[in-house]
Amino acid sequence: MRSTAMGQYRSVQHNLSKASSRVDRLYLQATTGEKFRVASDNPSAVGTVLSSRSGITMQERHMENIATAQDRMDSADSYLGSAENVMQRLTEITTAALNGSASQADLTTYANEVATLKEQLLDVANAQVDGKYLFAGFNDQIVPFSGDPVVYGGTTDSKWIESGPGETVQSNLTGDVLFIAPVDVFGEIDALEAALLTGDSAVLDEKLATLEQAAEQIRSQRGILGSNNARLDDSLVLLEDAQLQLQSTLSRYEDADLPQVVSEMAQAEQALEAALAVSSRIASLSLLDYL
Amino acid sequence: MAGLISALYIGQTGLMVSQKGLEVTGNNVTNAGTEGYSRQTLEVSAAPSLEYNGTMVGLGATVSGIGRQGAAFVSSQLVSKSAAYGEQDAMAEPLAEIERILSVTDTSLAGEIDAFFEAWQSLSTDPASTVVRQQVLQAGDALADQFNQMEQELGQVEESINIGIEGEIGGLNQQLEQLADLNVRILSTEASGQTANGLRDERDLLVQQISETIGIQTYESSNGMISAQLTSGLTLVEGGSANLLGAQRVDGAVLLSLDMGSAQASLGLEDLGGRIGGLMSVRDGTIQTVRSQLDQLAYGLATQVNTVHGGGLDAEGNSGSDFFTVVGPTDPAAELWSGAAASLSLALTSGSQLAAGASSATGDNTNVLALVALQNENLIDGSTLNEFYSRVAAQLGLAVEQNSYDLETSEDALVQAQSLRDALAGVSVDEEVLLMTQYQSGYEAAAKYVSVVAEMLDILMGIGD
Repeated sequence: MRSTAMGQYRSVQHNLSKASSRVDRLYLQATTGEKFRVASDNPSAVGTVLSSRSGITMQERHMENIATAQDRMDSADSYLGSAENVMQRLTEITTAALNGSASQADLTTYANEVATLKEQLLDVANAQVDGKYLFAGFNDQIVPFSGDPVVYGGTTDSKWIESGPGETVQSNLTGDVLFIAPVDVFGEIDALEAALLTGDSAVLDEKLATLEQAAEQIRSQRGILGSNNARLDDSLVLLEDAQLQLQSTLSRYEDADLPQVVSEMAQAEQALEAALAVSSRIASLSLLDYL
Repeated sequence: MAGLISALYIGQTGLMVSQKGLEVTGNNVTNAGTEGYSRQTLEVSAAPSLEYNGTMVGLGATVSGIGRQGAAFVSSQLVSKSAAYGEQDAMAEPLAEIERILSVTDTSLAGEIDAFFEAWQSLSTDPASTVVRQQVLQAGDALADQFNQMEQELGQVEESINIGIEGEIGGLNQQLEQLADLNVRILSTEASGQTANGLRDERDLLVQQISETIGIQTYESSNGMISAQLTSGLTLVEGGSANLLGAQRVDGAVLLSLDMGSAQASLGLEDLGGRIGGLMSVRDGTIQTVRSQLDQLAYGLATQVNTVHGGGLDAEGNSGSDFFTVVGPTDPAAELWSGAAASLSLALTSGSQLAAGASSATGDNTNVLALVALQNENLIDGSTLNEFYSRVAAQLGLAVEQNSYDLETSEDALVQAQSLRDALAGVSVDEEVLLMTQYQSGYEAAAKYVSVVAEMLDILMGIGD
């Protein structure tokens, strides 16, 4: 085959531009640390990358959901702790009043304390966090317990939050199941106060049992809240694990493997160098030099 | 006496031939870098002999012609390879631009869809918050904006393709007329017995350029004229006449037609190749597919969000109005979603219009939860919104990958054909230098011969002294 200078220049130029564009691409990967910048870099990875990224965003969101819910649940739990203290003190008072040695004056003092305790319990039932009533169901901006006798003005709705994809957890307790039904706690306290004032020991005796039921009612609801809270702890651990998993998947597709890039770069640079060296020798040998 | 004089003439032909040879070589060497130049060769033959006293005596050498190193096979290869290369090369730029629009980075449409649902998630923990409600509206607005912007940018790519095609047509028509003109000039030059080497080189190059622009096939008739046709067989140039292309804007898009004298043929994708064919296939194929898919996505998003939103009550207790607005197509035959990406906009104006719950109670987040669930539901063609977008972006990624592979292959093939042409018809300087020395020594020999004959004449003239 005849060789012509033009042909040599053309093919050297073609190969030179191929070699230098390969080096350019590797430089870009090395400096950005990314090997997936546009879809054509790896079309089959587009789905995985976008869904991983979406998954990470949503996991972060779910973690925040859980944190917000747990803040409220922790507050609710500590309020219910003081409600239990109130109930315990009421039981103590009733037991002491039933003890024959208490005079009517003592009973009246007890009655006053019971009235104070009722106010305390009412404060608990109307507890607010961040301007929202904890035990009011969906009507969380209206005082749930008010009036004499105390009635519940909230709703019976559970507030669910999403703690994972398609996974919801109840984050609240409503006032009715805590304080109204089946045992009307405030009604019972009113009855206790009346019995103390009249010194009616038969009623007091009866109240001792119902107070225990009321305390149990609050305790069991608190237990439900606690187990929901624990479930959220578990979800959080799962989310963190899943997030690590997704991040490593994402990194596998997105991040350039630097040692590999650097070694490919060295290879490509060598090829380019060779191509450059050849270019400088084109037409250096000519018959003209020998004539 | 007469013998010596004719011997002088014989010497002269030697000088002439060498001199002509040097001219041809000089022309070759100086055109070594000229695109499309074919090496020319000196064709020498012995001059017809004459009978002289019963013997046949030669009368020297004569230049019978200046030949052109032909490469007919490679020339036709170059025409088809140029068309393939032109097509892939023209597609590369708009495809890269569409790929940028269908981004897969954090700021892609998929990211905006995530951000939209994230805002709703945020609302689920605090449904009455005016701040969060505002955030949801903003996220919805940003998402609609992103759709509008992508649609607009696709339109811009489409428009730059239109401008590109219009630009190509002007130059192409000129080249077609040039080709017809060259046909006539080559015919008349060769009919008068001369060679038309330079014109043929020019024509070969022109055919190659036309093919790169629009993709043609050519036939050379026995009279040396070339006829050029589109790949579908429509005639562009026949002998000395050229059919010119016209470009009209119909609904903003440039449509091409071929003026065939008596009739106008409108040209579709199947008629076109080369750069124009490549640009057209991106404009009428890729962009329309992507656009329709974006429309489908925008429409699916808007209708599903509106349906769920309409199932709840807003802060004032009214049932939820549409969250997004999409303007339906005016053409009743068009798909329902046609134009949705361009027209998608936020319909709500105030955060209190968000239907967060089944009731208007401040803590009711039931409807928010239903809306959040849409993110993982298969809303379009059995895919979630995000998966659908991934599919669109991945499809385009594959097209870009295919194009860059095809571009590389067609460029390699073109370079190879060009090298083959160089090998067959190009100028090798070394070869020419060698010929130069050959002609030089031929000239020296002929000159020496003439001086010997002259000396002999001198001797003859001196006899009488």
